[in-house]
Amino acid sequence: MEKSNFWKTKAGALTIGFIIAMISFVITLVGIKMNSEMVQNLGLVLVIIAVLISPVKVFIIDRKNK
Amino acid sequence: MNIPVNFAMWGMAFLPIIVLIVLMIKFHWGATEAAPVGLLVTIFSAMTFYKAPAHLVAVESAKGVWSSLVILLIIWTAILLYQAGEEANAFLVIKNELSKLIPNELLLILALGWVFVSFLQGITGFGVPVAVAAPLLIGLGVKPIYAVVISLLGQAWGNTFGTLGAAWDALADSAGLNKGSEEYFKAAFWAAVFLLAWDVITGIIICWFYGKGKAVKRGLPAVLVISIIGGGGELILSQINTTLSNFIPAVIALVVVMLLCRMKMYNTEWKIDESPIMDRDKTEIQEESNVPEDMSLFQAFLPYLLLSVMTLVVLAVPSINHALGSIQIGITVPETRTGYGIVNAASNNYSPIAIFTQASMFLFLAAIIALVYYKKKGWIKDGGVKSAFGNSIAMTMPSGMAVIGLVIMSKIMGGTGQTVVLSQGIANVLGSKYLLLAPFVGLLGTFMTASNMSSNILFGGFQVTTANLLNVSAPGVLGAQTAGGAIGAAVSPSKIILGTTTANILGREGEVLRIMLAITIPATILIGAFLFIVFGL
Repeated sequence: MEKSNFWKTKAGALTIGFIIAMISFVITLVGIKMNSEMVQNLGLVLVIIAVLISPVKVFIIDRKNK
Repeated sequence: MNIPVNFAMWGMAFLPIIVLIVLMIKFHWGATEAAPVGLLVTIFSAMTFYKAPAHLVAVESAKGVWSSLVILLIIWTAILLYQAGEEANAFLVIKNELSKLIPNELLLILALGWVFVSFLQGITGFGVPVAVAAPLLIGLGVKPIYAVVISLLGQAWGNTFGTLGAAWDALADSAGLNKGSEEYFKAAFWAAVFLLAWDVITGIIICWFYGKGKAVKRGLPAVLVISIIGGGGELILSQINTTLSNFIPAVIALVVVMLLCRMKMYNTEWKIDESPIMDRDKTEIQEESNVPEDMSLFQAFLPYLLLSVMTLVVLAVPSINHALGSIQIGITVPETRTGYGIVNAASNNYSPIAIFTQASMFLFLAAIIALVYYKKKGWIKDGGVKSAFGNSIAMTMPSGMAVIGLVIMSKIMGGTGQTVVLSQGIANVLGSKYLLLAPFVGLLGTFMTASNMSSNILFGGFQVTTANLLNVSAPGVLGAQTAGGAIGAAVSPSKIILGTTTANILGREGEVLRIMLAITIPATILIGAFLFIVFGL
């Protein structure tokens, strides 16, 4: 049986998304601590990227690879 | 606050929810794909129509991720505990031993598909009871479609206070109920009343499926006894300790089933040969070779017994609870303000997590002990422990990212005033007739998100704000919200798919959904009507 690479599966993509979401969370907290709106906004952008990974994989990358 | 409540503002607040519903129901998107789109719409609405600065949205997102972490820890550890039993084939032992102990086929189906499923819901939840019970029921000879239907029905009533009260805690958090307050216990009371009724109904329906009136007549005494212990026990305990209010009655119900099967009425072999839900040509157990011969029923249940003991000791002994509960972690959040004057207060300890008294800690310890014990006994093969961890992460991630998206969405909606506008708009138009709709909102939330907890996070704040605006009973409305959410767990597409996958009938979700809608919609209408008559007239 062919062994698929975990990181190329949906669960793998979601795990990457989760890791990015955690990084974004830390960045936002650092931004709050530094009182820097710029850093907080960077955290917001990253969390949006994190949650968008699944729809991008399912509806763009996977469809392109079919 | 000076937000204009007009159709455009209301429409923008409702848009993220509409987007979620349309993507999931019309286009069959999963929650993991639909939630980010709903979140984007929420952010757009917040920053344009609701005059929220970007850093406010960022802070609300951080609050959302923080709240999600608690939920994700419970999901992951609950699934890890399930995987420990799965790797050791403990569930096959439970099924086989119960079959030997209970000669009455109807009681056996109730024991596995209703009581055992409730027990699993009391601890794990997140679809695990459906995934476990459906194949076990098929092993007894139940047709696959009905194996999924019975499992879905059996787990539903335990969704609010099950999983050590996770969905209830989420409701209390999102609705701003202070733990231990009068409102808190009133809302818990109404939730438990509605769920008791649903518990009785599901037991009777399972009997009806098995053999219409004849089976109902035979099974009714058992259904009533088990419901009084399960749903009735939950009602009483909800006024004392909401964390254990489902779990303890579910454990007692499991013991009572064992006693019932010794009673004259149930201690002899009995079945209805022409039962429409039984496949009489295929009752042989296929997985016999996988059953660990030297594992007893006690050993199969050991992880759950450990979980019960640990939870009881830590939660019921005040000195231990106080000592362990004092270790808390919270985050610091600044004050934020929208252009319309909505202020979110600063906090140095936002939504603190008591690490050692949190449900996920008990689940994690029980899972680790189970893995070590089963491995030592040789019931888990080489690589099984690694596989249990891998599978638990793979099963957590799909619901996990959906939870993160939905919680952030709900925090932004709340922090920018969208939830208030949504509630005010509905209250202005419907008045007290909204009470008829309150449980449907809960059902809709679970239908969309596959989680009573997510439904409560998404709509808890909305429901309490609407109830306060209409000057009707907020505890009653919150009880109906979460009861509707629990009923919705029987009709949620994601949970149905979980059942059809383990029952090996993937693709027949429509058949299951049709049966479930015919049961859940009338039940939700009854709750809405009751609520309207009691609080709205």
